[in-house]
Amino acid sequence: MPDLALRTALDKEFRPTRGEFLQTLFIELSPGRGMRTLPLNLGILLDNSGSMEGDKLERAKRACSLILDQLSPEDRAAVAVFSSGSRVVVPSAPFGEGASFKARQNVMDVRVEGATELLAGLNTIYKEIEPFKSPGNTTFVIVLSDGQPTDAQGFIDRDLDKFLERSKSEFERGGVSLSTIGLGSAADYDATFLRDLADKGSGKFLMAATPEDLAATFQDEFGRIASTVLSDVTIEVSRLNGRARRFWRVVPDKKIFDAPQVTNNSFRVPVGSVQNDQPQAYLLDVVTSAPEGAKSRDLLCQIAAWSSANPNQRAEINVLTGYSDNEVELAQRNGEVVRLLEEANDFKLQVDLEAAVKSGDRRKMTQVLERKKKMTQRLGKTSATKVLEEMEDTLDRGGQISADTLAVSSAETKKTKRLA
Amino acid sequence: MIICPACGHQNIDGTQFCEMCGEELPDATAAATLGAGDVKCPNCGHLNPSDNLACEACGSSLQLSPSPLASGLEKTPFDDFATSVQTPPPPVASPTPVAPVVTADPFATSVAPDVTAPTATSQTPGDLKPGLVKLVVEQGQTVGAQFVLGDEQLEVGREDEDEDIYPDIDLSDQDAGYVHRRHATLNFDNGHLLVTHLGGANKTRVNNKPIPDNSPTEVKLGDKVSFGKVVLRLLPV
Repeated sequence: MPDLALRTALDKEFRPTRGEFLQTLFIELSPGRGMRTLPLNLGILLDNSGSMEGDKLERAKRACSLILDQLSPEDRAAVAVFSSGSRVVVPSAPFGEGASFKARQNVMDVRVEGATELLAGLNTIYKEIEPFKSPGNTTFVIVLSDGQPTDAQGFIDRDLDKFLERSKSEFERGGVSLSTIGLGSAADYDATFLRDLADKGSGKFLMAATPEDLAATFQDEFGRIASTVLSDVTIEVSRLNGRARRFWRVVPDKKIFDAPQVTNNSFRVPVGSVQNDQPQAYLLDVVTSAPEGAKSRDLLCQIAAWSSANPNQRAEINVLTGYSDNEVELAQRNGEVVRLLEEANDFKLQVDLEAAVKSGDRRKMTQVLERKKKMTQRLGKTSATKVLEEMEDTLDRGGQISADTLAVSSAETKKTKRLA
Repeated sequence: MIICPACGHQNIDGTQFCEMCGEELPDATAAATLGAGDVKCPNCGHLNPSDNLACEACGSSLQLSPSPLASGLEKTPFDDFATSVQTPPPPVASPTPVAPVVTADPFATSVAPDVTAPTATSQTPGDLKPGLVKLVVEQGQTVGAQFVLGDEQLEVGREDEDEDIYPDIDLSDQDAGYVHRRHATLNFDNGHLLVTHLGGANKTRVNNKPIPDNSPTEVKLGDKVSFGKVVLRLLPV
């Protein structure tokens, strides 16, 4: 039974015989049936800065302990905290019963300290889990924070790129995924930054608006990570007959990857882990040129996918495109791919909306909101539409769109309805 | 190239949503169901009903468009895209002043010969009635959207549930930023259509000229009417 299965489709099966033309290639990656979930190599990084005092830290400790309780003897976990500096409170160890009890005690003993030195925290937790990475397990970090990253003295750290670069390089070179949880108001912890940090680490960004929501949020993400059946998966596009442009993930959630670096008509994209019974869908925009000579069909590209645990067991597929001047053939559309394109465009509009809000351009905000509302209505996303209507009302009344509302809209947009 | 009707960005053929602004693009390769007498837009290739004077997709004038497509195509749809189209053709010019009784449609001579022209007796200026004319969006979020003027008096504006305002022609979807909730009224008077601006800061214009507040101004067939930044054209139904 293969680990991975591939399925592809083009939004337009035929392209004209002349001129440049954009086609969108849909790539679905599905795990094999009946696969075992991988043991975990988990790192939990908790914010114990001053702003976490009281119920926030207590709930965070309890949520963390709840996770540790659910680990099995094949799993390893480490817990670190960060405030002014960072330290390990639970060194990485397999989780037999004795280890679990001691680990929970250590976690419950954590107290608030100083600032929010996230970089120190990331360095600590990555170092703690690094020696235990292997193709046979899934290595994941979950970061919880309620504020913006600072230096050791508490001054806000404006250089956010270094965090994103760190998360990206740990994922691409080390196969370590990272998810983030923002606690409290999105205005306090910079939701866009935490979302981007998780994006670079091929993880998820979640929000817990109140401390009471924290346990469920932690649990949701832990449940997803614990259902990983393949880690460190790579998609390769080769023999590409055209120019690759945007590469997106659209299912189960949306991510815009960096522009593909094509060499010798090939490129590879590390896409992270695959969960049990959760196919993933990607879209690749390809600009093709007119065919040389008379052809009815030709190879557009080859697609391959594999996980680092079994690099020789590759799923491979050829993608063909047709050439035609027949209007009926040219008008054919693959409804499934078109729908995912709409989802991708919905996400693009969200990014535009966030840029417009950041710039303060009210006219642009109104324009983008109108387009986005049309899209979410077409996609049948009623709760996302309501959020947009609230934003429109706010603008109409002369108010400002709040960071919390924008973060909720972002979270709604990230979701994609699961493929049938 | 497909020119985005919202922002003017040039997109590669086959693109579904504008790469710049996300607007849905007219489908240059769509076969559609070819109706006898359908008129193809010279700018974007969209197929329009034969009596349209402006393209539903991009707003370009169809007045000088080539012969409508029959079931056998004489040329490929991509001949129109061999060169980049930088700007759309100029819009329809205002019609000449009309006599009280007109036996021919003032627009018939400028429409392609095979296209079915609107019937003369029902479309003469001075003879405008509810249900026989429509406003078609030429600049707005949904170019080509149509509002049939079906009542003697209509209010134009933007819906506001909180204030219990529900205009007959709701332009919220077109450009909420510049259309007032109670922007203007349209009314039919003795065979003429009159528009009255209700006093908001964002003007109502007829053929680009702002009209005075609370002063009914005639709108004739083919005229452009703007409410804020939304531009519509008065056309026969």
